[in-house]
Amino acid sequence: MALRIPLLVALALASTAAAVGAAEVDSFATTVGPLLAKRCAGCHNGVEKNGGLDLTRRETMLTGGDSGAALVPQQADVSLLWQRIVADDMPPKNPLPKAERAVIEAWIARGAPWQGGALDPLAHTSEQRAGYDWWSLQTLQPIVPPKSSPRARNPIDAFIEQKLTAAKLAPSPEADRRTLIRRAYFSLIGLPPTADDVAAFVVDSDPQAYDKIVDRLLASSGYGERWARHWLDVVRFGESQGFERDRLRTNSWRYRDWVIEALNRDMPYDEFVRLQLAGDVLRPNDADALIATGFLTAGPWDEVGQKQQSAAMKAVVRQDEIEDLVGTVGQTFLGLTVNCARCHDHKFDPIRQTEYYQLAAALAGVHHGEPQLPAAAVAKKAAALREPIAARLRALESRLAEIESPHRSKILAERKEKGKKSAVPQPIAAWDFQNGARDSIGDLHLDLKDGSYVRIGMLHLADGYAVSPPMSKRLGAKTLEVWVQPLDLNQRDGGLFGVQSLNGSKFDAIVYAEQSPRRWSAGSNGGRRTQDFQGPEETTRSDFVHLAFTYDEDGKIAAYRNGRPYGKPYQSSGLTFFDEGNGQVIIGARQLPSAPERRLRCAVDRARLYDRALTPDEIALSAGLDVDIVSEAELAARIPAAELTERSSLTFERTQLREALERVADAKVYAVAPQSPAKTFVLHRGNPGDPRELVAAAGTVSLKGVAADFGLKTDAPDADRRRRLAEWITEPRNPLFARVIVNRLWHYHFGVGLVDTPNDFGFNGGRPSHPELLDWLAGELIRSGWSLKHIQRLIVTSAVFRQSSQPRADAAQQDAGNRLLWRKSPQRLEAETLRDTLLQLAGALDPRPFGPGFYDFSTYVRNSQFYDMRDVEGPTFDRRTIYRTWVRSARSSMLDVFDCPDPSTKTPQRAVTTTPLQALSLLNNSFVFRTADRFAARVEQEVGDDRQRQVAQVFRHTLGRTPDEAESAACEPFVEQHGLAALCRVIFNGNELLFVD
Amino acid sequence: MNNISRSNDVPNRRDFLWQAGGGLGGLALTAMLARDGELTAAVPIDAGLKTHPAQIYPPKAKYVIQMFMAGAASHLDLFDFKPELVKRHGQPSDFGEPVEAFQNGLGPWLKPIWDFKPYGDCGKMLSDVVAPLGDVVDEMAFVHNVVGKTGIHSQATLLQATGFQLPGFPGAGSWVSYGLGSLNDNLPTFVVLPDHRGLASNGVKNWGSSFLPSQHAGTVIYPGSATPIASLFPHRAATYLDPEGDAATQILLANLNARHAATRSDDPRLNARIRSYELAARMQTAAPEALAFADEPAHVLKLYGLDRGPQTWSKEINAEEETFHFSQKCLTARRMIERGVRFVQIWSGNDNGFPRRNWDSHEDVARDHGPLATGMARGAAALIQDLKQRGLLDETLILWTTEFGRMPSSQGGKGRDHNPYVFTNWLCGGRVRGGTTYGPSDEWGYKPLDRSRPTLVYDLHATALRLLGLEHTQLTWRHNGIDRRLTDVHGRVIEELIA
Repeated sequence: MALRIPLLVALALASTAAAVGAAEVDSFATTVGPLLAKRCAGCHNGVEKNGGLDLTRRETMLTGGDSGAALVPQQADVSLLWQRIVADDMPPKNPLPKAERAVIEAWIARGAPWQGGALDPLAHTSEQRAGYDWWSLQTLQPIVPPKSSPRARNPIDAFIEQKLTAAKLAPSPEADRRTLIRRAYFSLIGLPPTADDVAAFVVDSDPQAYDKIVDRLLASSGYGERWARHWLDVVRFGESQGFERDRLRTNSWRYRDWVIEALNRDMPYDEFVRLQLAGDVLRPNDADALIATGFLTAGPWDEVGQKQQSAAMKAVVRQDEIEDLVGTVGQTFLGLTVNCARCHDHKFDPIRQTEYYQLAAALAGVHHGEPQLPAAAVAKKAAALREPIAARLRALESRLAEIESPHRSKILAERKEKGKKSAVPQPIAAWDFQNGARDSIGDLHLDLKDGSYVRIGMLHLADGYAVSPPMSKRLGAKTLEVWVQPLDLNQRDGGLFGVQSLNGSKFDAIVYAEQSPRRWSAGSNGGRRTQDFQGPEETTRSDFVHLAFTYDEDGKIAAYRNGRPYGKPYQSSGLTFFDEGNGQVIIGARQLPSAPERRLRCAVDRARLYDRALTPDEIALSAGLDVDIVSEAELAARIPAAELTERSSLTFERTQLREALERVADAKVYAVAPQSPAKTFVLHRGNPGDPRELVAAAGTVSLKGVAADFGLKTDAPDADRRRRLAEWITEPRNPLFARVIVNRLWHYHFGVGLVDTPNDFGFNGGRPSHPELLDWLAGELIRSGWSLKHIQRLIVTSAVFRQSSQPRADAAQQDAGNRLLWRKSPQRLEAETLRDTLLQLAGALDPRPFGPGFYDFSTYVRNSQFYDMRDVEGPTFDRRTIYRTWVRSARSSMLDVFDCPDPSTKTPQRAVTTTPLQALSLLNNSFVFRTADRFAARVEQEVGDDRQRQVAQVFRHTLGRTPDEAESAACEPFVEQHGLAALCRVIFNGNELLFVD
Repeated sequence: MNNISRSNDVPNRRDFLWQAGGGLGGLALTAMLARDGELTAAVPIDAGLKTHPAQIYPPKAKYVIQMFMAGAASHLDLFDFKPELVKRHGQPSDFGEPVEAFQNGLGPWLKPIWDFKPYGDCGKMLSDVVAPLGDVVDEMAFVHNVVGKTGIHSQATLLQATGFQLPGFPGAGSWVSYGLGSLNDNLPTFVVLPDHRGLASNGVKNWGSSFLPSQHAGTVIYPGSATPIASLFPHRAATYLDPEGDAATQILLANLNARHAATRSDDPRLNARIRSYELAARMQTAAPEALAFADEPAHVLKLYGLDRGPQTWSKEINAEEETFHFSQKCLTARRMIERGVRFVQIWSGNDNGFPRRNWDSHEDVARDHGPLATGMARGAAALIQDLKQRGLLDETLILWTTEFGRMPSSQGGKGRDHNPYVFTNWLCGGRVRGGTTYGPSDEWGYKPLDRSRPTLVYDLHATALRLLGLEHTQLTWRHNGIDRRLTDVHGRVIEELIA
């Protein structure tokens, strides 16, 4: 492409030592200056002075560097500058061409006249780096499409034809109908057409038939589900914190839904981006706008790093977080690797280190959090999401009952026959206060302190407490159970019953009125495992209250009052263990030493400690309610093995569905929780310990047509900073904003972008194969009111997209990489598309959109959160893969081998790799076997057990065609011998399914 | 664009050839299945291998075995003897400067938990708990002034494992796989043997290929478990599938794929997939053979302490069980490199859960380090001896590392807090200069003695790559506009360590 050579930037305040004639001004400004800036100033400038030499100003040339004066006017021979050039020393590795030498020599001979101030080393593109004249930074020019042939279906084709003609290459003919419809389906919605869709299209004589299909696909909800996945790749969306703790983000699915919905509605792209950067600011009180800012928090977050003691180390972690954010913003919207300028000016693109910090300042108020959403908006969404979950839950419960109840009633009947009652669970320690404060089971006899006493079967605690000797066994999961009557319902902060480590540094205790008045909560050291159960308040003090708190292995804490659930259980930061010899029981205080005002004044009738979390039924029974318990062990012993497996799978699914109902109602979202921005300084070499000048939020001057100055002070509030950033990025004159997104669309439709590095439009990125087309598309996007679907419709209905994928030797010889697009390159299915396709073929795909994602893992918290991958089965998991919960450390091996990206890193283009492990996975994974079985069953149901018809039907569904004779001859005996499911597995592994022509 | 870097979009023909380790020419599947007996025959070492342009030095080593102690092993109690701590034991610690502690580990000076004695011709002082390494200490090179960047487990693990403390970068083994290519078509180039209890901080991210092609990702193998490699064989749900059916599946698939490829002869991806099924079939035979110890003579099993086989062990962490598991991984590693695997990563210790199942001894060094170090030392010493007697030690670089060190002061009496300011790595084999100690730490083992010249992970990675014949500044991959490399923009080859 043609390089534009604009005038030197430095036209201001011209006054230099040398007298300058008019002609020479011209010559310096257009030739000598740019040449010096391009060839020399990169390494010899005011900031970077290699050899102590600065060649951006005449004065410093005269003074010279470590080796002495560089310039002696009129005497090239003794000018070091000239000597080094002639000796081919400088510029290193790239000696100056003859013509350029002559310019320098003549200039020195003329007395080295200078015009303007210092040269800007970033002004011009050189062999080593991009300058302000870099192609992608120039304003969009109005482009008139070239003349096209009658073959062209829209202006896109004209641009493509022009290049092909220039290369003396012909385009390929249109692909056959079957290929065409499959291609459109996979590209737009990520699923194959049904056999009937294909059959209907193949015979449809309507000239608009294809366009109608494209319109239908663009309007279907599958479009958003397919294209949101691309967006989530780019913004490295993950649903857990990553790093060591990797906590699950249970409500970040709302951002994923927002993206799907916005794409389906064809939200104008500039709006789409503005809301993600500053939705909370631009539309306060709008739930969707707040959810959109999930973009800002989609990346990992280092909990341990952010919470460590050392302030210096914490500052480094925060700077790393900001770099990740600046990098994501710069690359996603502008295709600029701004993050490379954190420690020094960008080595390849015209971005100053200061500008990196200006952009960092624009984002300095961004912090991760879980802001509250307006309740009404959440309720409205929840109404639609709840029913399908509840319906599945009902179906599942009734199936569970079907499995369990015969056995349950049998067990109960047998028990009744024997005159037995349900067994009350066995505690490890119990205090009935009938015999002093002795433990009636073990040896944890209580020591009464500070005036506490036992009388008429009760422990009376006025200001005192009671404490046990150390426990000889380690205690992890547990239940604390107690019957209590508080003396004064208005007292606050009273510890009732719990376990502590001997030095009091760790404890779990039932406490009264600590979080809020008149309510019970699970007190813990530093409040680490404490949240409000939001149970009801105590209103009368007449009766004894039965309380039981359970502490689960997985960190869940639940409370019960009088045998019924008290408020809502919650996931704590993890179970705490009390080592053998280092735990003791306390009644009447939370931990020791204990201030008298932290002791609950009350009477205790009984207390019990269990070394596991009791079930709700067990607690009800223990509280004296009339319930019959059939224990898990009793049931498991009776249920036949096959049903046990099904039951385990159902109970796993049930837990998730129950959680999903809670998640739907949870009025929070993982999104931006802005704070007043800390001051942003330029950090010398990126080191937070070495701050230099204070900067205000601003952009980079390298983008032509948009002012980099945000007009903000260094202490501007976060809202102004992000609003201005969003305006600056989405400004129609921003040269990169539209170019970058139309290139992404092209990239996904063709497998390669017009620029083959979608996140990098800088010096290290690719050059556009069709620069005019890129600019025309960018302009068209703006003219259409930023409609992405408009651009995609143009692309997908163009002749170039509709070409055959058949290879042609003549063209391949000339352009093997198909950069000129003489055919449509086949694309391999992505991991998600492959999984979704198999589910659809199996007739199992649940098309239900939106809502909390499914978990293909079980999870528990023990300091860090852990994820055990699970072979999941059931309708809850048969949804499109975009609804899989995207945890950073819970990777699916099958998706991974098909290049599903790591959500910790921005992935503008996925790798396409081929490995033996991929083959093994697609052959042997349980998911493949299950879907093959179900697909086979479906085919058998459709066509009966005629082998020939079965094979034909498998081909029609999977490949949209009937098998030819040779294929039938190979497949039919195979089915005969190994079964239809075995054939389905073969086809699932075949290249024809995996590669879309 | 510079010709070393490659973009990571659709592979072109050259990329494909690289991926396939040097050309198509594979056996036709049907022919291969017919000659079932030959499936285990390894492809001749070095056959048709293409070299990466970064391979500019004659290689000294061909393989790497990295041992990674998760949770941060204490240099002070294992390898870096500090008489000053013995002298000052129990006195209030005074570092002479403010210390950024991770938790609150600035209690009194704490002397090494075990006594140290000199070993070998070099007279290196080693702790009693790693005494078995005394037999091979003349082969080992210690670096006592390694400095980290963070006292946070996840970041420190990433830094040592990938060279970056943020997630999203390829593991060191992935870079080696990318740089050296495969020596063996039957097994992956980068194998990871995690701790038997589970994964360390960051889980699978420590060996992901990230932006490098996925064939360079570490393949997880659990030696001795029911399914050592995921999906190696059909899932048990496939009741209808017998071995004959599986073979017929392969033949039919190859047949259909060949017909499909016939009209699309220009697309290397199609042939690559066909070949990948052939390789998968070979791996099904080669991997179980590589993982079975049946052909190991009794004296070798005895050397590793594996002669008694698995036992029923106590629930508490104990030395015998640690020895079994660590040694099992060491012997597996040897069998892997004998079969051409380039990089084997052995993990000791998993996450930071509680009770301690790793080296993060905040409470009690003796309780956790005792059994872990005993097992590690026995397994590692056996591996070094075994490699040496087979003549493989010169070709195999062993790199022992951890997240960071531990403080010379105590924390809660018997434990030590994190010390990212100095810790120890050691290297062995691969023509490393044995019996040497490089880069001392200060008298406390708190920071390097010469603070201006610490050793960074980049230096160790640069040195390891050099031993493999690779120039670390040239082993690059362009990702999002940057030529990424294992050593970021740093790295200095430590010539003193190279024999």
